[in-house]
Amino acid sequence: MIAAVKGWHAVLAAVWILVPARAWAADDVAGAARELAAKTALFTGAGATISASYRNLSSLGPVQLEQARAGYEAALRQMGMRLGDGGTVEAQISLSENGSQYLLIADLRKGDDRQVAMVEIARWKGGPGAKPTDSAAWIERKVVWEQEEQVLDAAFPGDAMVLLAPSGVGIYAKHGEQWELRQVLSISSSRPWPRDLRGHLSFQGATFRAFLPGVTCGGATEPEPRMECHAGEYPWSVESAGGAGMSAYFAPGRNYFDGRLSIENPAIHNGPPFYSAAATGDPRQPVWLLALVNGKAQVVDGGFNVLAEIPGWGSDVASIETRCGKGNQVLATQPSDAGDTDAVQSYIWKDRSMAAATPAAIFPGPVTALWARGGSAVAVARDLETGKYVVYVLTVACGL
Amino acid sequence: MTFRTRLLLIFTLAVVASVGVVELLVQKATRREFERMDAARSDALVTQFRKEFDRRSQEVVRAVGGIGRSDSALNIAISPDPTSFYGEAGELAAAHSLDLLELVAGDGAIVSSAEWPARFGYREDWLVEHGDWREGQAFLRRAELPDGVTLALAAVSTVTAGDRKLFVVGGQQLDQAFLSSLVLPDGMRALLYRSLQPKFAAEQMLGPGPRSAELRALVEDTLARKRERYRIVGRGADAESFHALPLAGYDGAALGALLIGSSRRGLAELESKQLRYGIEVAAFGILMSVALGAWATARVTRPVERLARSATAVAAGNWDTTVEVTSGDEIGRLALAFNRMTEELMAQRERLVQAERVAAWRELARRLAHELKNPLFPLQITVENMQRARSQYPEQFDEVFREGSQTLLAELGNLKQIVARFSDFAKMPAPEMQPLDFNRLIGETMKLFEAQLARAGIAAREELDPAAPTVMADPEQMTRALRNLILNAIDAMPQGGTLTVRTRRLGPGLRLEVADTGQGLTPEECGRLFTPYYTTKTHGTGLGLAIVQSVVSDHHGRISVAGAPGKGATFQIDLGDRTG
Amino acid sequence: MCSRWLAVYSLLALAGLPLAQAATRPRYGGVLRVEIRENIESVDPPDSGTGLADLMGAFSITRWEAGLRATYAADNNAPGGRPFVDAVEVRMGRPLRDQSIDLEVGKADVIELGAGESRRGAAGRKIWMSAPVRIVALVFGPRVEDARIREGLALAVDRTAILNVLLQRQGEISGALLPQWISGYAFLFQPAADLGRARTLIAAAPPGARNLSLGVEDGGLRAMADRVALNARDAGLTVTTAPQGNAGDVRLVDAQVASSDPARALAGIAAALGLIVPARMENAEAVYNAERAVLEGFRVVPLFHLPDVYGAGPRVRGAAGISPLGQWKFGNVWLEGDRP
Repeated sequence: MIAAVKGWHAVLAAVWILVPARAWAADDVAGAARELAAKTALFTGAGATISASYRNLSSLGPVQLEQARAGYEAALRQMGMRLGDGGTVEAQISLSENGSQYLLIADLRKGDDRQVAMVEIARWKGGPGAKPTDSAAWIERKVVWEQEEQVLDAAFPGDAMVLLAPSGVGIYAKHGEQWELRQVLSISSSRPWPRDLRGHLSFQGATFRAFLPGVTCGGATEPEPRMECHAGEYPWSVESAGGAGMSAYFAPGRNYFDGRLSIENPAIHNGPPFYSAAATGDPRQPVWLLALVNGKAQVVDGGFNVLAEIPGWGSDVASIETRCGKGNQVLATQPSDAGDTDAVQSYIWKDRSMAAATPAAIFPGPVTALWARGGSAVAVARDLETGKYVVYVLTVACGL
Repeated sequence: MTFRTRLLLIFTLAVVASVGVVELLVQKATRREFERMDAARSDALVTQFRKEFDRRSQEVVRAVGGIGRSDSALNIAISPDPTSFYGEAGELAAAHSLDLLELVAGDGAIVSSAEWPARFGYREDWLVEHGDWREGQAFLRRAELPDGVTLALAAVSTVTAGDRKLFVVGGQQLDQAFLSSLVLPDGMRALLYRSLQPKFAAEQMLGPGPRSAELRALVEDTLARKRERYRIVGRGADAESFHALPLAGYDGAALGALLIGSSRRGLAELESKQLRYGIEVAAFGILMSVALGAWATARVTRPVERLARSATAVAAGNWDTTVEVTSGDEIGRLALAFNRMTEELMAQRERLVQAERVAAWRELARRLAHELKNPLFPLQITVENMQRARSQYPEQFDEVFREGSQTLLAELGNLKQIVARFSDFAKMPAPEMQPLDFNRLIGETMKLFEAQLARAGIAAREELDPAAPTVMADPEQMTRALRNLILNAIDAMPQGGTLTVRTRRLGPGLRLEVADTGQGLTPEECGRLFTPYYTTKTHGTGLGLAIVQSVVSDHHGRISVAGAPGKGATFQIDLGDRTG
Repeated sequence: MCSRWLAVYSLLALAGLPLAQAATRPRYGGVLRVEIRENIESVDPPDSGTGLADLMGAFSITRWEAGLRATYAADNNAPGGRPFVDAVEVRMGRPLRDQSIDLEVGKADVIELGAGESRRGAAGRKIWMSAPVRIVALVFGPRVEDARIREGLALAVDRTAILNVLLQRQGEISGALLPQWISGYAFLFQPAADLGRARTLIAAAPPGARNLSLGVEDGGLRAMADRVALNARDAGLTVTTAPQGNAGDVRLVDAQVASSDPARALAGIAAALGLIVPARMENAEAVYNAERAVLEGFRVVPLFHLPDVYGAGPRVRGAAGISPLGQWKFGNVWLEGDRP
């Protein structure tokens, strides 16, 4: 079906064949369109009239398709081709993709001859964010980072961004609107990390501690980033809004706190194991919401007296300070599976129960980490479509 | 054919005819009764078949109706997407013991098919085209299967849900198992022909036993006429009488035929037995009739035979034959009469012989007198002349005496000839037989007469059969006989003519013919020609033909003459023919 | 259109599921009970291919009864961490129907689902569906020399009906060997269905060439083979299904895509189907040209791309246990039940 290439076409074709394959890949759609136009010209010959049609078979949006069309047609005109209906050559241009790349494909027909040309386009970042909902208060999400490796926690000391990942702590500095990696402080573990790895960054000024199951690291981002890690069982510092804090022991090789915790006094209380905890209510006398591993949420006071047990909660909770409503609120994930989209909603402790304060904010995948950061919270969700871990900073906004 | 044989035959025929008529009547009655019983059995089997058919029909109707009323069917009917029910028909069919089940949407597209699952989506337009399907009624239809076509007893149930419709078409195959459910008496068989192809296909005939071209013809006839047919198939003990019933589909088309066959072996054996008995009875009857006939005929025919033998003997010349008189009835009286007749014949023969002897002596005397008279008269005249000359003319006496002496001597010579001829005739010797080639004899004899024939102006012809056999005969006597005949023929043609001598093979013997073209003979002359001394000539002794006859008789031959005045005469001598 | 196949697709039948007991954090513990149709009779457990071999790494084999069952225990030192479940028990040789029953009565946690069963999911049953990773195709043997016969059969097959009914729209019609989500260009191979042209082609072939036997290696494809035979009959071909184990003049085969890389995937499919492709295919266009060369002449007629589909019981939680390529990823699966 592909016509033999003759004459000067053969020369160009030889060039085409001899050029390394990687050279035909493009980093962007426009570049791919130009390359595709060059291939088209080899087939059609100089001065041909081309009838082109376009379609998008990929996850890219109409913007990218338009980029492809504009780039392709401009390149063809530069090469002396004409575009219009009823041309001697029909070109069906398709923007497609496979697992690893996008493809810009030209299905060219000249009479009975048919030739297919393709240009590969590397994948790039992208993805829309959630829109705010119409409500008195709502959760605002801001995407700050996205990467392949799992992000366990993120903190923003000063102007930096520190990300905790299974491989280590990454320190980022802002350049314009983009974060750029400044340094990675590696963390190694003698044992493999458990599944559903969790970790937490606790900052005081420029110093920090990084908690992982079975490993605790201490370091600083200033003046020079440094860090030292020690294996062993150390209680994690779990901050909460309003300055409340908790120390809790994390079960080694697992994904939950084993129930040993202390809130205000150093005495360790042995309670049921829980995934996460958040302080809410009156900052002077906060109550703690514990997301238990049995799927319920338990509300206890400072003396660990159970004030309420609430079914149907997700396993990640985090306090958030907000100007909306009274007191601090608790951000909580919804009960879902790791294969579902997730949502985070804000609640307030009221009348010995938790009441929803905002509509749910939908995430493109399960929320794998939710940590309080004072007036905001850090949420990490795994994008089901891209498979990447996306770092969000959440705040509760209201119409005030 | 003898009277006895004829009588025996009549007796035998009478017995055989009687036995045959009885045999025929018995056979007819037997056959009629057999046919009646056969028809009754066939009717019973047909009734059984119809009952089984109805029972199966009801089963199918119930099953299909049950499926139609089920929730499953309703769900399928109301479902906007029937594609998920692809496997339903198989399960429903198994649960309701149906061989075939199709769930068909209102537009005729198959939703699910138990017998051919792959046919989903194909159309059963016949369901939609037929229109209104009545519940509770089963019918025959051709159903397609992956490996061919089958005949099935089917029913349709229509499920209506709003504006949606679902047809449930289920059925059971009419196959070997169906036939096996019929209880068949000994000697009967049931065949089911399924008309699944345009032309007759032998493999669609289900059931036991052989199939023949006649069966095929019966099936084709039944299907073509769509009516019940009857035919006897086969011959002899292998013959069967078949009733064929057409099986029609819902649209009246003939989809199959049920054949009920009843062996006629029993009838054949019975008829064979009857025939055997009949033959034995007839044989016995024949024997009896022969015995009786023999006794009866003996009583009648023996005396008749004796009479016949005696009559034959009498005809052969034994006139003194008598018949034993053994009874006083008609036969006895006939014997008496016969004896009296033979006595009379004997007496008459005696008298006749005497008379003939006297006549023969008279004839001989007359002939002798005649023959002698002729020479004697010239003798007397000559002696008287001599006496006269001596007395009156002594000078002429020497010459007269000389002439007279010559005349006397010549006439004395004639007298001596006549006496010699008579003597010859009287003392003809017994022939000395030897194989004689008559053709050669004739040739030699004819040579002797060549000159004489030429002088007489007679043409001589010899028509001698080369196949003429040699015959035992006396050459000398035969030569004499032949010469006499030739001389006789010469004498019969004084003006010339044609003399023909012929020989011809006559069975083992020979026929010799001497024919002339002379004045011919009257019938009276033909009858007396061989009488001694009878002659038509003015000269001669008349013994020539008698000698010929005597020679022929001595050779156990036959001689005859045929002729008509002016047409010549033909003498015929048959020799050596044993049948003569 | 294709983005949905780019990641694992998991469906949750939520009707009636009480929200009270769910949680997003995985639970450690429990034995995951898996059932499969295949009887793996090898002396040793498989170490390649999809399925049991995928367990190695996160789990280690503790019990192997060839053709019957296998038990894999969680490896504490597994890369990515110890799996949530303590062990995986696999029962082999279970027919699909029995697997469904076992899932319904709680005797199994993960089962294979046949076509259509994913749409009849019971309450609480999750569906794990990979991307289209199986290619169902007709492969002609050397005896079928007449290209008109091959093309005729290709044109005669009613793919839409088979997809809608037999496959319950689970999968996609394809004219290409590689699915769109792997190659990105599968849409260039449009399968044609033209019964009229099929009849014309086959009628022009000699009568002796119109009888074919169709071999079916996988009993699960037998219904599809019957439909192909029926479609062939409509076009004038006599196709009879060969007995199990008999190769046949043409085979209906089911091959697994083993890699998400187009070149490796095409090489793997070609090897599985006995086809020849270039050893090096450096870019998408080269892969396309190689695939086009294989498909010319209709020696291979792709019909469908199908996903691997599993059903998971109500107590199975966590991410979908299979990857887009259908590989078992049970390390991240956890079981709802008693909590520590």
